[in-house]
Amino acid sequence: MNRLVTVANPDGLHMRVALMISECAKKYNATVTITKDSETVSARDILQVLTLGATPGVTLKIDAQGEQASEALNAICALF
Amino acid sequence: MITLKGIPVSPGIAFGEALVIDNDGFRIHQSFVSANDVPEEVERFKTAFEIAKQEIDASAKAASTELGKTYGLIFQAHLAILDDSTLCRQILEKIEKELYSAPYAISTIFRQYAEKFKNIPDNRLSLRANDILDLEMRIMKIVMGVHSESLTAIDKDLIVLAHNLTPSETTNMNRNCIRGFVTEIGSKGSHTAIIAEALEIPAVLGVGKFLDLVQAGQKVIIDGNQGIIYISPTPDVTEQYRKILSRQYELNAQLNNLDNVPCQTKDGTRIRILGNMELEFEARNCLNRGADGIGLYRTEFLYLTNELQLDEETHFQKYKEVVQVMNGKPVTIRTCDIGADKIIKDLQPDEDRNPALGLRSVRLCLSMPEMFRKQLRAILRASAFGPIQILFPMVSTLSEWRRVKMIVNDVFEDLDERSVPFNHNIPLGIMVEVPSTVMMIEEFLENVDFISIGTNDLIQYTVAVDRTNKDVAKLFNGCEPAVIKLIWKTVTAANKVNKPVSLCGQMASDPALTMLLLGLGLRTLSMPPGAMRDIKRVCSSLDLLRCREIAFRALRTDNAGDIQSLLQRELAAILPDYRPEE
Repeated sequence: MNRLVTVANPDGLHMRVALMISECAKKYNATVTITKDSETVSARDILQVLTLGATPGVTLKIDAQGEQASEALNAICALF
Repeated sequence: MITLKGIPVSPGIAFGEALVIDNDGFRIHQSFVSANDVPEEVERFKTAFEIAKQEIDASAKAASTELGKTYGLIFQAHLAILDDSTLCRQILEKIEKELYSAPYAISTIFRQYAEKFKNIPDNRLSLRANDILDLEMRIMKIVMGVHSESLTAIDKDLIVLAHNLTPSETTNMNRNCIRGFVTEIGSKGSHTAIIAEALEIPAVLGVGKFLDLVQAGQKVIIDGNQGIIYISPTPDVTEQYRKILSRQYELNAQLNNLDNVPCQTKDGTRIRILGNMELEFEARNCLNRGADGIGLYRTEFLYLTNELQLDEETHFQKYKEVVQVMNGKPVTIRTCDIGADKIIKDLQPDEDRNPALGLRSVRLCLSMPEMFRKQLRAILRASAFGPIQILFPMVSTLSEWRRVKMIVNDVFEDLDERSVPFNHNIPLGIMVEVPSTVMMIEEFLENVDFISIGTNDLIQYTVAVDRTNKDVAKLFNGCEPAVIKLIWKTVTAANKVNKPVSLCGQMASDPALTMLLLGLGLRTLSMPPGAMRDIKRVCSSLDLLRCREIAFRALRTDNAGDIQSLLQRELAAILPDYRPEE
């Protein structure tokens, strides 16, 4: 399952948000990925999330697979 | 071949590979390992990451309590980066598939990420490149510092090339692999120079901008006698230096015999040779070279490495250790002499436009009496374990000296009240390094137990030259007649009233000046252990009457150049095989 989100934070997807995303993703038994344009990274990997370079207003696709996919998806989308 | 010239601050010749430290940290050698070594490299990579995480975790805790949650967050993010599975996989692939050494693999991947961040158009995000480079530097320091075997993957002998080196950088290096230092800025008396002398390895500083010309791992020859560095030397130059090196080894083997012989002149006058030291391990070096004691134990280092304010117990332990190593031979501890060229974050006063003339040394201590008392307490407590004397730097007026003595008396009373044992008769002395002190030397001698001449500062304050300023550094010369007259006045006055006088500046370790110093009446010289063999050898060939004649001739000469050639000629006549610098 997946959902589209828009980066609302005026600083973009910066270190603090990236840290929260990666910590959140690690809590669930699910594989969560974030896609920007054609680039897809694991939500657990903070460095990869940061290198997406997601500036304010950019749209990202969050995808979750696995046992707790819907819980993970909800929790992560709530961070944007 | 590239030839560079700089200021020679520590003698000797060494071969090695370039270890370049630039703004981004260690510039890593392109280095590869054999397939057999891959598991070991993987282990090194993992260990380095583990240690880094522990370090960051500790910093995170400290930062959260002291600075609040926001700062702790940065460290948490750093921790998360080291846990990034993609990052770790990429590094592993470099090691396992492309046979990169662990440091080279880590560095390559981190720099790729730093590049990525720099290319993100949004400013706030691209700032993160610095975080990545910080992390890389931290891990590189671990790999280079803790695991000596990581350096053997490159080569055993390294010459450090850097813009400048901070005290913590020089202490964190693996000393067993470092054969020499070359820096773009810096000069005699700087921290790097002191460390190089302590390690007895050559150093050439103040070379000017050159790091762009060098690649990590290039062959380097450093000639610390003449201040020359060769990058990628030609076979001819290499051969020439191999010959010089082997001659040096032969000579050293002969000089070894001097270590157990007390230093005396040809006519049998005993000359006391004391050691200058800063790091604890140097006390043993001094002892091994047959030193009669420690003439100058510098304590700034303890302030510079422990970023925290002075901790009395740490100082006490170090002082005690040195005193015990010296086993009954006297140890002269100089109180904190933080000066213009040894910046320290916590203690640096407000921006000082003329630091050499500003709040430094004993003045700084007097302005921070609590810090000063702590150090004095530590020294006094150590005096219960062996002979110690306290040396106060940069005392320039008698009223200043009286204030120092008042504080010392306070500390005496304080310790007595608590019944802490210490030597109540501990000798208190001053460094003579400001011309005003020389002019008042008779009065000072009535009030002190001993004196020690610090020539580096004495020269600076006499001829008004900052030796770190390359435009005027040439004027900094111990053979300046004015300087010689000041030394003469000081030594004569001290000998007249039978107060111990020694000389602990760089002049003491220059064999060409030994004759002059003995001729001026000095019988105690304090120097780094590396200089002791040379000086002992020179002393044993000297006749004191002749020294006296030479000194008086120097006192009647009106310029430094003539005095220098006089001394060189005399030395050549006495020791024909001695090769003076240049």
